[in-house]
Amino acid sequence: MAANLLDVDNLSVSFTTEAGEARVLDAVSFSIARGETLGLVGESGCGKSVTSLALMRLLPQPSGHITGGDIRLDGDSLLKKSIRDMHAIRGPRIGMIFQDAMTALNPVKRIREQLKESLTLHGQKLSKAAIQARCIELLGDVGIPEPALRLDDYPHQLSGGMRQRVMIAMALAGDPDLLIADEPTTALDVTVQAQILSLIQSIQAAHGMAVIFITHDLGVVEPLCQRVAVMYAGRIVETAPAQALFRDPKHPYTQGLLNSIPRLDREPLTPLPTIEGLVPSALNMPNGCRFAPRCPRATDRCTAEAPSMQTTSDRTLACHEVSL
Amino acid sequence: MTGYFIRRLLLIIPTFLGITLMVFAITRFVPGGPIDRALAQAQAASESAEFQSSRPGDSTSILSESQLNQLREYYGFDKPLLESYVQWLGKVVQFDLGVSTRYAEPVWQTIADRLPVSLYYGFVTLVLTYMVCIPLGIWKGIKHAGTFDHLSSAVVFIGYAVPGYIVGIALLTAFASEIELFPLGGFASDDFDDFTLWEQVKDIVWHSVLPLISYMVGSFAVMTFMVKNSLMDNLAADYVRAAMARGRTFGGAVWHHALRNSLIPLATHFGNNIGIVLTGSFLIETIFNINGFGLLGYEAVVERDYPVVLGILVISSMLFLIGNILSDLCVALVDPRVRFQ
Ligand SMILES: Nc1ncnc2c1ncn2[C@@H]1O[C@H](COP(=O)(O)OP(=O)(O)O)[C@@H](O)[C@H]1O
Ligand SMILES: [Mg+2]
Repeated sequence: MAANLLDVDNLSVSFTTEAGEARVLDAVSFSIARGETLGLVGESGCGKSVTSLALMRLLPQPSGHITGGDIRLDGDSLLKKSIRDMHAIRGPRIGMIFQDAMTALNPVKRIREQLKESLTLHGQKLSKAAIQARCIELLGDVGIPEPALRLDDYPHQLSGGMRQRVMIAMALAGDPDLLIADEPTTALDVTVQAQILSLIQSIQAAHGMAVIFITHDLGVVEPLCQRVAVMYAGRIVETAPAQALFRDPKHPYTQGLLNSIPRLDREPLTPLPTIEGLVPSALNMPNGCRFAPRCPRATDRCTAEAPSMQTTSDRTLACHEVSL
Repeated sequence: MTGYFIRRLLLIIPTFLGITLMVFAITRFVPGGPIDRALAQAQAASESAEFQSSRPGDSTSILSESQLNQLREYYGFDKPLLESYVQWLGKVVQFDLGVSTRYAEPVWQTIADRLPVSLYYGFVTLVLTYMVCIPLGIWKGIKHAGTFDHLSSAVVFIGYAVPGYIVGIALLTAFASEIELFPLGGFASDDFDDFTLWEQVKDIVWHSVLPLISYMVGSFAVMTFMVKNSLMDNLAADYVRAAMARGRTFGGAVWHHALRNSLIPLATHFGNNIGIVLTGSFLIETIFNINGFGLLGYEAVVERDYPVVLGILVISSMLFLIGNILSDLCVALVDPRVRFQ
């Protein structure tokens, strides 16, 4: 058996748009061990959702395509799998929860109908009573009160937090080895966010599944994740164990992100530091380091030449100016 | 929800009163009404009489004042507008639509004669349009930007751009005159009554192929593209992706998830289509020599056959009002988020 559950190896993704070919992911690499939680962090539009969809081979068709690299689950290349094999992987091997549970649930179908799919789509022969019992159990597991009644509800009858719990229950139903959570708390109130985060944490502990936790908010990563991959404009710029990253961020972009987290120990009434400038467009990427135009430490070399990946046993870094 | 529909049903009453009162008033003021016609007819008759006897005419009115009053009384024009409207309405609620001035028979009779033909064309057009447009739209949506999509779009758009009666004339010229594949017109053959049932069915279908195509070409584009666009919106929706992330095949996600959502816009249209079923198109009816509602309405307006005009108005406005409520009901049936208060 391969050492890692998932290896993403120089994955590149392009979209065919009216304005031309947009290379949205450029040689993205990271890996996850069994039972590990990886935080995938970056500003909006850097390619986090595209990464997660590429892992599921669910990129928008026909515009999105994987142009290079490989994705290996337990050493098996997902890109070589037939569509039929992918159907068997989606659900029981890799589960996914989405940013906005309102739009990720079919508005015209009852919760039962949608939850049931996760139980019956993969060849299991379950009696009606067994399905009902399992659905109730699943909703109970994700902390939904009166689960038997909620099964008859339509998505719009539930609150945002409850809907996200339903999504989590659906992903759990397949008992996947890997759970991809794409900004699962972004659409929720802060208090509900905290509940969902701790739910994911406890589920992860109970089931021992690996989790890719995608967020644009470094603040929620520290308690949840063992390792963090920082993404900028379609590239991974730094990966590190979570504690090491927070203690000693290497990449100027990571430093910028950490500085812009609001903190209680900061001097009151001082403006929150931000990263100047804008994310480059996928149609018009800088030649060298993509962060160079916004980087306080950029040199001529940074604008001319893309940095190669430095690696140590537990960290990676793509920067000319800093070394590991 | 029940309360909502009861209120909607009650609202039919004032709306209906408004529509009919307006048209009733118009019949009073538009020139060329029955009195004018009677005068003109009398004039024409006396002129031809004069011509034959070659006697110089006197300058007095053709009809005497008492004759005119008799006519006004006969047509109900002798009373004030509101009074005669109330009188007319009183008869309508007892299902009495009066007597056609043109055919001198009860309006119900005139309408009932045309009803089967119009109902046949209306419902067959409606059913065929749904039966073709829904699968076509779905197929186009799934195969978006493929060869089939482009080719069918071209055909559908041409059909949309060319009015139904032009299509009718073209079809008639090509397939009934040049190649004698279909009859030149009419609802059924002259010796229809002598046919066996099976021959009768075949005869009606044979007569209705060309008119049905003419009826359908217009609504084709709207419906097909409504289905296609709505399906494509839903195919791109998160919940379709989420269903596939649970292991649904693409086809399964379309069938079990996207389809019902993309038919919601059709449900809003359903009621309107019910209303249109009966109105028909007088141009297509004229071209194909079909004695339906469209032709009847047109002729009634031209001939100022007001009882028939008002009778058709009563029926079509009721259909429209009920159709609207049916639309709401359909939407509430397919979309659980919709709850009318
Ligand atoms: N269907 C698409 N067609 C073209 N470009 C897309 C499409 N989906 C995403 N992109 C582009 O890919 C980039 C990354 O998007 P995404 O992965 O959604 O970002 P995020 O990190 O916020 O999840 C963005 O620049 C976006 O414009
Ligand atoms: Mg995203």
